[in-house]
Amino acid sequence: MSFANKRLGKELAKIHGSLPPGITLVTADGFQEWLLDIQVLDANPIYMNKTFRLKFKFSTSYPIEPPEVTFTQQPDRPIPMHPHIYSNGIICLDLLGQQGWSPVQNVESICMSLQSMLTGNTKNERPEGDAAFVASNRRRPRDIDFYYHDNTV
Amino acid sequence: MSSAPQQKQGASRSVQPHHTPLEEQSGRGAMSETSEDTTHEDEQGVALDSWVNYSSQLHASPASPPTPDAPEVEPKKCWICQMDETEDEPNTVWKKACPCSLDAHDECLLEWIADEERPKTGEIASPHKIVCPVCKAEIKIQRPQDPIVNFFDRTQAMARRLIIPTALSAVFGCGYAGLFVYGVNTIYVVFGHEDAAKILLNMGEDAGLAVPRPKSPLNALWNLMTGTDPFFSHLYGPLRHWKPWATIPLIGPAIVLSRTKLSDFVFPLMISIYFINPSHRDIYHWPPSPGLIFATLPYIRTAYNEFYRYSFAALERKWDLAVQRKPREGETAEEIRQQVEDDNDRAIFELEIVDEAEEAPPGPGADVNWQGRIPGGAGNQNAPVAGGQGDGAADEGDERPGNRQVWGLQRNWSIAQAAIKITGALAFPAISSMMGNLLEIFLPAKMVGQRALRFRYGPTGFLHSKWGRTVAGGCLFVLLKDAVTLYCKWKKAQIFDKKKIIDYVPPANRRRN
Repeated sequence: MSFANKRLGKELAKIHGSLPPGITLVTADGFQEWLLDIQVLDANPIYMNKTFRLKFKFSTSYPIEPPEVTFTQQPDRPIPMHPHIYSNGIICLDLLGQQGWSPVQNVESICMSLQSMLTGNTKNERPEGDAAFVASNRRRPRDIDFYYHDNTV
Repeated sequence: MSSAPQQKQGASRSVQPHHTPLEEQSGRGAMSETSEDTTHEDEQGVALDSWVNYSSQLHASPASPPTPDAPEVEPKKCWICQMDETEDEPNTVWKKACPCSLDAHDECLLEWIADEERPKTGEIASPHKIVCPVCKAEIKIQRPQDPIVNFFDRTQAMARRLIIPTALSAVFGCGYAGLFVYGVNTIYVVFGHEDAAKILLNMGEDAGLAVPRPKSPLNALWNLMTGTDPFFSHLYGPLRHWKPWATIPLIGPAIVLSRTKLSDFVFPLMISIYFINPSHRDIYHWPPSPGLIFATLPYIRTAYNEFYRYSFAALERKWDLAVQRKPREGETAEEIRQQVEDDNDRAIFELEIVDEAEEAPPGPGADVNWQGRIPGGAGNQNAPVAGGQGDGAADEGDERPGNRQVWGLQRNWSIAQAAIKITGALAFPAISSMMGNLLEIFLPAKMVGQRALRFRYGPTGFLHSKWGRTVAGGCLFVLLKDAVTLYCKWKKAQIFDKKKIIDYVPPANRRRN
């Protein structure tokens, strides 16, 4: 069993055991792609009564390399409005980039980070240049060089 | 309970080296509180030690929560693969690389470090500073040392640090080299080949030409430099001293500066400095020495400008006014002139803004132009003819009659005007030299003399040396330029009223007419 699978097996066992409130596992078939749902627990009007679906994609070098994490759209699972989340579900968060990532992070901690990123947000808007980015982007999220300039949100 | 730790701390100081019966006894009293079945002596010793460590920790930082047995109960867990000790295969190596609570497998850490150090495309892997992701402490890595690899890494790191200094020094070097070439060129152009070589040689000698020390490493470097330079190797002999290298590049900037208002304050001082040296006091020598010329130049120029103003100011003014439209009722010619000038200035400014930055609004620029202008004053009289034709002697234009400029106006120069001024100033030595050559051709041989025969000895012609001819040529050029300018103004004033508009004739009628 590979390095990544061992670690993911371990994480999965822990997730099956318990998860923080607002985070639920949807599917985890195999060690390539997992789906989790997150909710914002406080009364943030932007996200109230909404559930968002996260897709995790793991490479064989996980956890040395970060997983690819995006929001996916379903009829009842919108893409959350946030100045760092593009309308195609791509998330601009340093934690998920090559620079900000470290193996101490795990699926649960990523979910919690995203949860708190949404909780703290007050702007009901998309990033600047969202339409152009969504229309033109053919790269995978991990190959995009985000410029992490905004520490206020 | 409160007295017990006191007692054990007293014991802790002597327990650690070795166990004496007395301390063992006091330790046993402690054991009974923490662990129950510590009958075996070895176990007891271990437990005692850990307890003692804990109590001394407690003493050092009483705020920390008491978890004495936590590390022993919970198995070590690798922060990378999340496996714990119980799942280890035999011979697994654990590492604790930083002060915080993270433990990891040796193998996992190495893989992670390899990823952190992964080189960017086109680079060679080099050691980075690896820090713990949680406590940010540096993770120390011992690597097998290889002198060549070490040297390579250090060179690479140094090269990266030197990028900006190198770029800056390259820019500086280009500027320096350009100015140096200009300086040498100017000396040659103004003084002619022979005299220039002498001057350069003297510069070195005056400064106490360094005695060549053939064996010194500096000399070896020098020979290498002179041997590889295709352009100036013949100059290195005379230029062995630092002085020419420091002063020659200043020739260009000095020429430009001497055209600005600043020079009227600074350069007059030069004459007193010049006469400090007693050997310079012999002024009855023809042609005058370059030093004397440059020292007296500000005075000569001012005198000339005053003379010009005295003689031609009124005329020039009349002619300038003559080429304007006739004043309407309630308007004076002066007002029209003022208007025209303001329009011109603004037009120049707008043009410039279009060149520089397309989006900049022209408004502020025009405002700045207004500020320096004296209401009703004459303003800049630099006629278009003078500006276009002969900026070689450009400064005269500024100091023309009725031209009481304030400092503010001086700052209104657009970049285009400044460029014209600078180019004119830098070209002036060459123009003077060319005029000097023309003099040599057209003046009778008696005046020009035979340079080769008469140099320095015997009776010489009035303009026997190249330097003298250059000075005369420069003066001649200024005179000519002003004369032509005045002539053009006069002529334009003359023909201004004689314009005729030609009726349009359709092409069909032309044949018949």
